[in-house]
Amino acid sequence: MTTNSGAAVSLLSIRDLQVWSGAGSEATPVLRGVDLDVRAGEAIGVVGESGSGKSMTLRAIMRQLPAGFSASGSVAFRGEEVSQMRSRRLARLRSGEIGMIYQDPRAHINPLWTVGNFLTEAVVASGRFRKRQANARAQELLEEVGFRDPARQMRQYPGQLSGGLLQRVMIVAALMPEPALILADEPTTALDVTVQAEVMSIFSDVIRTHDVGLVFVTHDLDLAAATTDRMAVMYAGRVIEAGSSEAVTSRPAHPYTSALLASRPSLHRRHVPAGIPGHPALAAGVADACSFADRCPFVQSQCRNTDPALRLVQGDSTSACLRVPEIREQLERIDA
Amino acid sequence: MTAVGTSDVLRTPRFGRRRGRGRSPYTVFLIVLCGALVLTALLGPLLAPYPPDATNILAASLPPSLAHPLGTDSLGRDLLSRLLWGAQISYAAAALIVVISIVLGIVIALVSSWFGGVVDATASGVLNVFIAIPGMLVAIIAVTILGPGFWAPVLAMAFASAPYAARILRGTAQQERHKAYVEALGLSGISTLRINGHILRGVSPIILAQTTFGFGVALLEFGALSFVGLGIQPPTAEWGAMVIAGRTEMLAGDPQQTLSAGAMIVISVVAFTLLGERLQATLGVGR
Repeated sequence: MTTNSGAAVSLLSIRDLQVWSGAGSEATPVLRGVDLDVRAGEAIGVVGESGSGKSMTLRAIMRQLPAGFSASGSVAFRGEEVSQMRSRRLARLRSGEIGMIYQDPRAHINPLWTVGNFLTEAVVASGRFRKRQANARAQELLEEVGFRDPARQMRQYPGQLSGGLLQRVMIVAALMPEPALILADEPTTALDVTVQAEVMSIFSDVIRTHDVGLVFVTHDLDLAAATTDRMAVMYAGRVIEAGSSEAVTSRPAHPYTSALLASRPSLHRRHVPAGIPGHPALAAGVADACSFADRCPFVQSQCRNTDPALRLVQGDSTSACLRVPEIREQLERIDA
Repeated sequence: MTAVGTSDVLRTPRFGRRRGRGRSPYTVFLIVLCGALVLTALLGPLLAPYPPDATNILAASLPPSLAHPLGTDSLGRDLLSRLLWGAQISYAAAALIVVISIVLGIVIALVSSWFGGVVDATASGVLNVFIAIPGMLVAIIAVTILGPGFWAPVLAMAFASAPYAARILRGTAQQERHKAYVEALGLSGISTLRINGHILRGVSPIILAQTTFGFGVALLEFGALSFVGLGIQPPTAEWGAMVIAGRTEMLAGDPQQTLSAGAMIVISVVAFTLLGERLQATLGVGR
């Protein structure tokens, strides 16, 4: 395995990932060049509003785009280009190396098969484990995520478990084949707020004990900051800021991130959360201008002439704002 | 854009409610009746007091008595025994027709819903053409070519009714195929064949209903073919053949053969059709 970037070995490396809906002259962009790196055992949060391209990025990684969508750019898993994989290799990637957790466990688990079957089917079918081993591992993992009587849960049907419990089952399913990376698409959004916290803490615990890389897609900035090492903020089909979670939330380097942070309610301060004027830009509506220009309080004429690339700001933080150096201090003050 | 993420808790199965509705005395009665009929057909040869083709010219055209509960035909054969032996052939024919047509239907439905697009459109078009050809006509042609008997009408009717089964199953399979869990299965690296096993399980209620319903129809149509002389040939006992064989006796004042065989056909067809409809309603599958 070789890396040409020179940095630590990337588990997952996405470069200039573009996704288009439709074909030919009708094609509209959905992702406009996403760059993202996940190192082994590292948790990356991907945050952004609905329609910013978070889920589409996950789908593109798994090469599971909806009908009529096409992708270009590079998605490399351990240096191996996913788009070049033959179907057998791809099946091995999906069944054994990358696990997936969905937003709505109820819809993503076949209600007619038992939990035990759901957990063991893929790993047994792919030849990774024998039936007996798979059962043992499933029970072990169920216990790890807090089920007291795993043998009984294995015999239950999804309809007999609550949403929170079912999401834990989903976490176990993702961990079953000992994957190197887990993609989680808003795993707690469909859950009750109290259950959310519980599931999330179990989730981040098992992710750490099993030393699995994580791409965690969420709307929730605070949740992402609390559970991930690094964060990428997406807007209109691009990553506009990336850096350590701590840096992104305390020293934002993009006006959009800073505005997002200011729009959160706070337990500690009495203030009215500040909204962001206007509507989220669509990836399709942006051309040769900063996608956030229309809503940005720091906008200047230069912002409307080029779509700024991600540039290194400080440490390993990157930002796609032309004016970062000048306005950095003001950005941080917004959330002060 | 995609069907993913549509949380649809309402569509999750509610076992309790369904089971409750399914257990009405009426449904139980139909299940018991159909079960008894199938059991009679299976055990017919053991229950029959006489061999079905043992003639006894001295005991011809007897009215019902203790020795011959349904009497005898003009050759002195025991009608109850013939009825019981005949049940086996009639039921075997109907079962084969239904099983073959449903299996074909399942394969067509799964393939066309899985691939969608051109495959699906082509399959639907071809099915519609075949549905336009009456099943009985196909059976008559098959018998003309292959000769009467058991297999020609059975296979012809099985192929002729497969398009109906396929059309009904395709719709349900398509709904199932686009559920989020099917996509999730694909992303967990499970093979297409196995995923279709999941889909099949999802459409199993409609398969059950369709099988029961189709059994009654097949029984009636196979009886009709034998009645017009294209199916089972005398002296083999079969209900449709018995109805027509009893025709002259009926004119002579002995209607037992035609009536008893006809009654068995009617009872069976009505029982299975009603049970099929009942299952459709209970399992929430539309026609």
